[in-house]
Amino acid sequence: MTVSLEQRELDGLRDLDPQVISAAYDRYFSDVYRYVCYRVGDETAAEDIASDVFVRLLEASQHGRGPQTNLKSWLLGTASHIVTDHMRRAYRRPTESLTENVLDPLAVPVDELERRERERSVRDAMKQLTPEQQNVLALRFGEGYSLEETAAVLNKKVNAVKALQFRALASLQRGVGEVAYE
Amino acid sequence: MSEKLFDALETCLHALEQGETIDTALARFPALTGELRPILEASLHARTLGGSAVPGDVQRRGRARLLQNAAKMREAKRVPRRTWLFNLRPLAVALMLVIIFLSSTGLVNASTTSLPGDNLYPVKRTWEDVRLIFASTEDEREGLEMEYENERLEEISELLFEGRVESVSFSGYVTAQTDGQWVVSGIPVTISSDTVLPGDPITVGSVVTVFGVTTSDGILQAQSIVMVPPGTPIPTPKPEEEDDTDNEGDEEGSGGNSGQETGSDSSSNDNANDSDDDSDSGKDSKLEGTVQSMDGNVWIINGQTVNVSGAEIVGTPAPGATVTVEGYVNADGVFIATKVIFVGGGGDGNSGSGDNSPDDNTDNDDDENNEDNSGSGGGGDDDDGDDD
Repeated sequence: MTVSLEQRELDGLRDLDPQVISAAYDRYFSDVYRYVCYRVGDETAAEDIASDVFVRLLEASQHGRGPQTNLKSWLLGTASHIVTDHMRRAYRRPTESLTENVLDPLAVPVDELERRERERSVRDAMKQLTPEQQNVLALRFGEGYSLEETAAVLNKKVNAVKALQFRALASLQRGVGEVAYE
Repeated sequence: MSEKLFDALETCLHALEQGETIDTALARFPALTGELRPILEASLHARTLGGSAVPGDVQRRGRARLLQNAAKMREAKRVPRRTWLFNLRPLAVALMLVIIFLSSTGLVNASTTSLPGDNLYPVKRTWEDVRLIFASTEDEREGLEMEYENERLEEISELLFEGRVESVSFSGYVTAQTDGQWVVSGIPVTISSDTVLPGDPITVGSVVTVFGVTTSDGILQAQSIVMVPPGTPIPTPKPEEEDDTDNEGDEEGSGGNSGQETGSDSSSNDNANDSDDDSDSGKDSKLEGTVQSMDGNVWIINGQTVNVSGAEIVGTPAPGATVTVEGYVNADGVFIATKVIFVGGGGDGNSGSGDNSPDDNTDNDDDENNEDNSGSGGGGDDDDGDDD
């Protein structure tokens, strides 16, 4: 039943049926947006990338490269690729966040400043992880997926995801410590 | 050992999710506390980055962008999907040439009056593609595209007139909007709760592509509407059509469209009878009809949006009155009036304009217009006749 529904959805995407496209978008956009937002930490970039994922879905469907079975996995996998490219570009051409420069420390409560500082150190530490490690953390702690769901999206076995998650958290903890000392 | 550790981590993560502290979670695995504590602390860090809700405007913008891209792709796909001949262009062209040589009244000619759903309709669309391939200049290509968009409008009018049920799509200007009922380039379009609309608001003057189904009741039920990307050639609802009728010289035109509420086609055909007006399309056009609404300098006359901000106005403006408007259509499809002449008080609210159009509009003959219009407008007066 579910398979045939998914198949109808995929057929509709291939035929560029506006209603099917809208339905797929409404069902999965928030997942994709949250995932991207977690990975890049920038809402503007997340909006662009999440939109791009769905445009790529249509393009891929037209060229026979679209998802065969699991649409959500395909979308999140594509989002992961685009995010990696985005990070690579950002690494080559680093830019300062305008909002951080503009913020007046005196106008922001101390708690809020500390929270932001903590979040920044976690995000900096996150950037030191491999894309695969970032992926597993984004799915587990950003999306709130179970081990099984994460394994399905990453196309891995559950045991492999457990190990990957453990290593990712260990690296993150080391990274946070290093960033705090800098 | 490591598997045990991973399982213990999973158990502790679950406990943290349930609101337990790290210490209480770790109390289950005293032997692993040293290894698990930093990992659990890291999990709390990792959790701080999550939880971004999707803002509503982000979702809307994304959907509009996606549907717009889908519309573009659909348009691009339309060409190769139409027939396998398109993939074999040389063969298709040769075939078409042979057909023309063999018989000037052959398949292609026979297909010119076909409608969506007819057996010959793919031939008609293929022939249009062939003509596009041979378009030598960008202007010529744009002219053809415009002609084909006009053809789509006429086909839909015909389908509605015949009450046939077919899937159709066309592009045009939104010229009127009431509850659930729009007019797009003269085509009445019904909007329902199932109609997928873009995030950005559509207003009168917007350029849109409508996907929908014509019904046996003579309405076009819209399934989805998307904004047309800037730069796409779209026929303006009115005066430019006179060029098309000249070019095609076909026998269609007023017949299928006379029933349209905006009456745009009928009046444009009347304009086509104007004597020797050899100006370019969109220049020095004339529009006759009934004023449907007046919103400041923007009026709707026979479904056409008319900007009267720079116009000389003769007579007393009033909704329902019959007017003759001189001006031109700008790139946005808005009729820019240079002169507006009110013929009669009208006020009956009917916009069945087809019959109101004068049948001779030679230059400098406002008096004649007045006579014609007063005859059909009912209660028309002669105020304006003296002004010129």
